[in-house]
Amino acid sequence: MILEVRDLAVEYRTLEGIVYAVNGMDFELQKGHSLGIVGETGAGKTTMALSILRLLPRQGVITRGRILFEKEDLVKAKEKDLQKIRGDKISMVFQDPMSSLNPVFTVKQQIAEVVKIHRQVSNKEADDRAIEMLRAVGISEDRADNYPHEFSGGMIQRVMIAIALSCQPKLLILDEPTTALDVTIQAQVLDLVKRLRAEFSTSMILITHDLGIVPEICDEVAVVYSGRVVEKGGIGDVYKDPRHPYTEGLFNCVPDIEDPDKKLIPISGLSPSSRLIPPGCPFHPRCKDRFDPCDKSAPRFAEVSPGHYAACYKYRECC
Amino acid sequence: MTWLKFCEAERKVWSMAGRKNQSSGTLKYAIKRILMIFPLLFMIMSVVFIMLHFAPGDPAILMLGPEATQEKILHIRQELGLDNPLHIQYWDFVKKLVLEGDLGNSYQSGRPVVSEIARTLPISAQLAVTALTISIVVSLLIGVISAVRQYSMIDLFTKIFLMIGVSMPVFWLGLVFIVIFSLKLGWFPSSGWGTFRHLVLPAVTLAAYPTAALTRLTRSSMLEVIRQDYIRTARSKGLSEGATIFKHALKNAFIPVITMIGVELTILIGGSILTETVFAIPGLGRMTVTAVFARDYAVIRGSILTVATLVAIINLMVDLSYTLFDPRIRY
Amino acid sequence: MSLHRKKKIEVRNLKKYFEIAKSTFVHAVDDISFDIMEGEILGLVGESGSGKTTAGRSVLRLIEPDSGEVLFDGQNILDFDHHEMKRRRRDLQIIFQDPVSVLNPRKNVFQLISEPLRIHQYGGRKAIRERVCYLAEKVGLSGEIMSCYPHELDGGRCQRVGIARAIALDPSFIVCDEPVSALDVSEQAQVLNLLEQLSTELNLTYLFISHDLSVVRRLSHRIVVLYLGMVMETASAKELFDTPLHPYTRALLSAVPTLNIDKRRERIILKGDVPTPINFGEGCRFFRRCPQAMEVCGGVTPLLKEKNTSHFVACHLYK
Repeated sequence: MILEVRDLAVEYRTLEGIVYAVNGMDFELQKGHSLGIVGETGAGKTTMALSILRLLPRQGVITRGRILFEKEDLVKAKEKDLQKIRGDKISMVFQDPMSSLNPVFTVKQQIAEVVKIHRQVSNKEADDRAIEMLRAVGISEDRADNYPHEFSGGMIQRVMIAIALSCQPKLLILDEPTTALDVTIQAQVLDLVKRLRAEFSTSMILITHDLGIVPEICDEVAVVYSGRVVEKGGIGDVYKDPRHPYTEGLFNCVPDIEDPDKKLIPISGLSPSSRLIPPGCPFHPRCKDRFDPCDKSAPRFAEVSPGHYAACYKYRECC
Repeated sequence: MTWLKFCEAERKVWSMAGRKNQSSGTLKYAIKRILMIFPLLFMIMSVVFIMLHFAPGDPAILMLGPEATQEKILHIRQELGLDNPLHIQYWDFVKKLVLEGDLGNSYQSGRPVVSEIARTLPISAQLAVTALTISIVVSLLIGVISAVRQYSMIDLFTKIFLMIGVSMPVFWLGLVFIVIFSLKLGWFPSSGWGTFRHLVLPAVTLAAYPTAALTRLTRSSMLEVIRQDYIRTARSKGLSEGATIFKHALKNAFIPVITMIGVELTILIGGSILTETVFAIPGLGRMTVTAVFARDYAVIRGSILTVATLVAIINLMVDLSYTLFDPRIRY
Repeated sequence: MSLHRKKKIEVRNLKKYFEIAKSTFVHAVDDISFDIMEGEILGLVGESGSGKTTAGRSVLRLIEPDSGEVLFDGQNILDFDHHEMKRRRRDLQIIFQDPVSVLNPRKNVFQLISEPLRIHQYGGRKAIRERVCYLAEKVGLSGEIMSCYPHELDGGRCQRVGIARAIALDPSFIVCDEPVSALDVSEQAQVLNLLEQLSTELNLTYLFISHDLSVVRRLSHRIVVLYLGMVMETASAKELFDTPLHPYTRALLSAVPTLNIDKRRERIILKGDVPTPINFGEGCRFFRRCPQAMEVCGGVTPLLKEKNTSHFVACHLYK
């Protein structure tokens, strides 16, 4: 087990009140595997990812829970220790490529920087490694001294991947890496990630709101709603046999190119507010299968089939 | 959305134009700007001439005193060329300047204006540059710290200090400094020029406002920069907080500050009048004010021309310096 | 599929170039032609730089085209003077992408929906109020939100307000410019269902612009594929997806993610980035990235030709 997140809760303390972004998230990742974390915007996926490396903005506070990376609890780790882990053991690729790189440094400088932080190498060695990584992501050497504004979104995302993999991390986190990209460029980037993952055997977490891309590169999936994981399991299990009402609802309302006549059934009710969390299961206000215990306390995971879990009272005794 | 695409397309066009064109593009731009200075100066001096012509007060009378005879006044006016039509005066001025490098002689002292300026300009420049250096150093430090430690005590004191610095009149501040540091403590002389000690009080007085302005700008620019995604990327690489701030953030935050430094420098050179008056420093500002009271047209013209030229050159240098800091800006 | 064979919109050789620097033009829309039958939903798809947004706006003269014709019910609207055009705008409407930023934040829902009625002097206060109530009901908005402001509503509701405004004056043609891209999945499903329903109920003709092929497949009867300002392929939705002819269409379709983990297309990964359409000369726009490019493709621009019934393609492979 390379990563275990247990009962994680994160809130943002803003002037207008508290936003409960993550409310007891629970999942784990085996070494060498890749996990897709899906949910709609505002479900808490990015907040959770930032919490792993403790990159939350000033207002973000982890209020409870543990994040165990190779048995060490990152929530309690000191800043100095975290700096050793970031970029070296755990790397992250962010969502919006156009704003992720510093505009006043060349791409070579920005890749070489991460190598210099974590390895005792000379400037020349770091530069060579940077060029090597650029080649690995399909960017030619003569663009190494260009600045970020001279690249397109897809290429910058590849530079970000180069930076993330320069020190061969054990865990790679990708937060909506292709959301801002055209679909053919998205295909390129996902293909690249697949190849590099195979080459370096990196464990991976892919965060996205697009259900369609998860099966491309992930073995397992966790579905997130209102700051909690409501269903998790292997791709085959969850995609062919979704058990949680929210997961079912998601699959029913998303158009699918291979199923053009599919009737789109919207999920009733409104998207959840992150300021006011109802007691019990976070989905119960919108759930058509709601019954008595659902508004009392949040259900824990029930194993609906080997390795496939759903947090729903339909499958377990109350509390 | 379309506008964003054009901007992106525009950027790509310029970057496609190639690195080789970069330096020649900047050179062409610089030359174009230098050539533009001449029409600019022409317009400024036209305004000066017209204003002086229509301003009340006769230099001849002021030179000769209230008991001067009409004859003497007319004679002086003729000598100075003040009876000629305005455009003839202007043309004579330009001719003399371009062909002989001569700005005429001061009505008050009779000495060549060029040498008067050569005497006073270095003093004002020294004062201005010292004040500016103090401002830049202090404002960078305080601006960065208060941005990084927003909402802390340091930030609070910074904000108060800024408000005071911006609101305090410079002559009042100068007088206060003289009272405390010259008269009471005797550490620095209260007036005059010549040694390092003469420089301290006036430079600090003059630095007050620019420091406040620059600190405010540095702070707000820094606040904006540290919220950017690329700062988060820098941290995610394992970069220490110090390196993140001083390497990644500062270079970006500094870009708008450069503009203001240029502006402040030009203000300081031409406008250190109050400080020079309070501390009795023989600089360009004080000389110009005295010349205005005496209707010493020659000195006034020469002074304004000098300052205008300096301002134009400094602005150009500031604009060119952007290319050093921001690779997205290329001419 | 509508049984009407009357042509509602005929776009002929539409061109729009933008001059971004001296003698440097972005060929946003470069000689595109298509027809939309009455009651039909035509999907316009493409990635960034394809010109689909510019095309949509040009058809309504929100951007003035440089040349070409737009025939609405047989008349060229590009010939109309200002007054005639204003009159015709009752019939030609648009729904924009981001509902929240499109609505005036200082106006409440009632004012927003009644605005087009007032501009075109629909009638007195009573008539307007009745019409607004009718429209609100038609789009599924409850009466209570009439006095709400856009920032108090979620994306889905705001988009319904946008739709209510668009149908207020009983138009026959609506351009839908990425109407669901800014909504979450459930809101998307609701709005798509609504648009489909209104199309049949009110006999509306749509030009549906989107980058999301799954959505376009679901809703459209026919589809036009754009690349860098030119039409690559036009066909009925079913035929385009079952038998795509143009190499770009094939690559595009293969890149679209699907929920069905058994039925996945063979991915065609394109090389390179989507270029910007600047100062293009002769030759196929897709030449540089085309996996099946031939020599002729670089020098001669392929014309749009009918290969099968109502299936047009612009490619030298099909001569």
